[in-house]
Amino acid sequence: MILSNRKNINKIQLIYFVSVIVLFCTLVLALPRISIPLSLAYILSLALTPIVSSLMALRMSKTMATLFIFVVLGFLVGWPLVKMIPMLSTESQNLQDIIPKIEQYIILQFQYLREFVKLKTGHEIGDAYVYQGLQELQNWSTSAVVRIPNILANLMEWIFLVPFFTFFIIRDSDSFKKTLLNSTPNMIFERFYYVIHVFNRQLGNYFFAKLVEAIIVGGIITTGLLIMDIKYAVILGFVAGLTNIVPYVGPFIGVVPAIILGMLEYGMTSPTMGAILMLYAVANAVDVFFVFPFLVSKIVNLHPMIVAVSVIVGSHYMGITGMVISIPVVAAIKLIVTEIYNEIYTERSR
Amino acid sequence: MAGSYENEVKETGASKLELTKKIDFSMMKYLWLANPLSGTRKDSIPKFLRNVELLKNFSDNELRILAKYMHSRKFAEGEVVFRAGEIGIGFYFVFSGTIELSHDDLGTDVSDEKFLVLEEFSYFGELALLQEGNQRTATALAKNKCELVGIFKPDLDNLIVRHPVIAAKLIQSISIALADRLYFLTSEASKMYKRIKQLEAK
Repeated sequence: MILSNRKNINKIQLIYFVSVIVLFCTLVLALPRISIPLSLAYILSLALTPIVSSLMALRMSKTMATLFIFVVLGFLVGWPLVKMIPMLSTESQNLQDIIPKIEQYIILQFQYLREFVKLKTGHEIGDAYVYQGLQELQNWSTSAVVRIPNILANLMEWIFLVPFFTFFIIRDSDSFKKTLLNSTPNMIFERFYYVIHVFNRQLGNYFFAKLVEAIIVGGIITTGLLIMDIKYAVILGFVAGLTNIVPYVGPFIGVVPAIILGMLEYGMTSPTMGAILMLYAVANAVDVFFVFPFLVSKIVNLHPMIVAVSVIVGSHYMGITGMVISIPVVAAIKLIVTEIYNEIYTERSR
Repeated sequence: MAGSYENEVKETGASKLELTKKIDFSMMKYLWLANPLSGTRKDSIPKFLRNVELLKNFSDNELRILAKYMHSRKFAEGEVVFRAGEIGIGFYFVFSGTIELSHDDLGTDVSDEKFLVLEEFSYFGELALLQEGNQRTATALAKNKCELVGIFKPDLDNLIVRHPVIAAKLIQSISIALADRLYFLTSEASKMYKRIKQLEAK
């Protein structure tokens, strides 16, 4: 009698617990202005937790360890930022010069094409489309300039929110975890605790590996471009490293700014352009053949098709953040599904 | 109770020795936390752990840190803590109430084959902390309203990184208990073997 009563109470506890968690997740996902900085902060905190733990082993309190990391990181990130701001302002002025250059380049190429077609076939191509397209490009760039304050405001919000969230997630992770676990029903406690532990560890390992990968790829490209004495070498390397975090698509996005720049500065068929492309190819080959097999693939064991699909789905719902977090989230879902499968089929059938 | 500050004070008081004059801040903090008037939940777990035989080589401060990594779980009468055959990650101490261990598994009347009844200050499930993918060998059931204090594999992982000495002491304590049990089982097995040989000879 007691057992049957108990079972009902257990079921009610379980349903209550699951619905609270589902409700919380939907609420956060429904507010991208919070969910994006929150997920970025979570990722950062996962990558930084091992360092906090090692500092704590040196008899530092958790708050002190967190503060220490923030001071060091603030210096490491803040100093180049301060250095970069004047550079960025001159470069944005350069950008204003570059847009007419692109326009001229396109018009010139179009005229060549037009003459070529006329020579070969005797037909004349209408030029309305090209000029319309260029007009649109101009409109777009003006509206982009108008939108810059808006983007900057968002960025400023992130710059403050992400470290703010990260600090408290790291410092209070234990008490958050305790609160969550205290309200976990006894029925699923051990398994739930184990799953969130493995989930966090897998996510943490993944982002740590990705960080190392990005530093290696970005480092190779930056050094190569610096040796070749190409303009904006540091920024191009930084972009290549950053975009490399997105699997499969990332390297291609990363090479686009280099192609545009090389085309404008050196021309499409120049040897410098070839050298730049070679450099990108070498950096990505190093990544694909040496870094990825040893670092990332051991952590996330997913079929390439699933990886591609999850990146697309992630970008659809959460933009670039979605592309970055999709793989570990899918890996974690796979883990949870396997755990539940084992629970239902292996344990019970014994 | 060895190693406890209370004992030390009692002994020095009994032998009429003068107490130390230096202000020891960590000791003051301990006394403040151990103050019977501030009987919050925060210090009741370390106090409880002090009375567990298994953890006798821990200092009071180490127990205070260990308690931070433990989880208090409440079980109602008749509730199952874990079942035989399940994968386990937790090592439990009985804080209050009574726990019944039995070989019977899943759903049926659990109280049939009970082989061990555990009361306050005893512990169970220590193998789960050491073994990878440990399967519970018995079913644990709360006989009455119970409170358990548990430490789980993820907690031990964190403890190893952040407080290696405490983690080592915990593992040492568990190992000693397991070694004692293994010794007992081995001697029992050799006794049984001799007995079988004797019976075969007859």
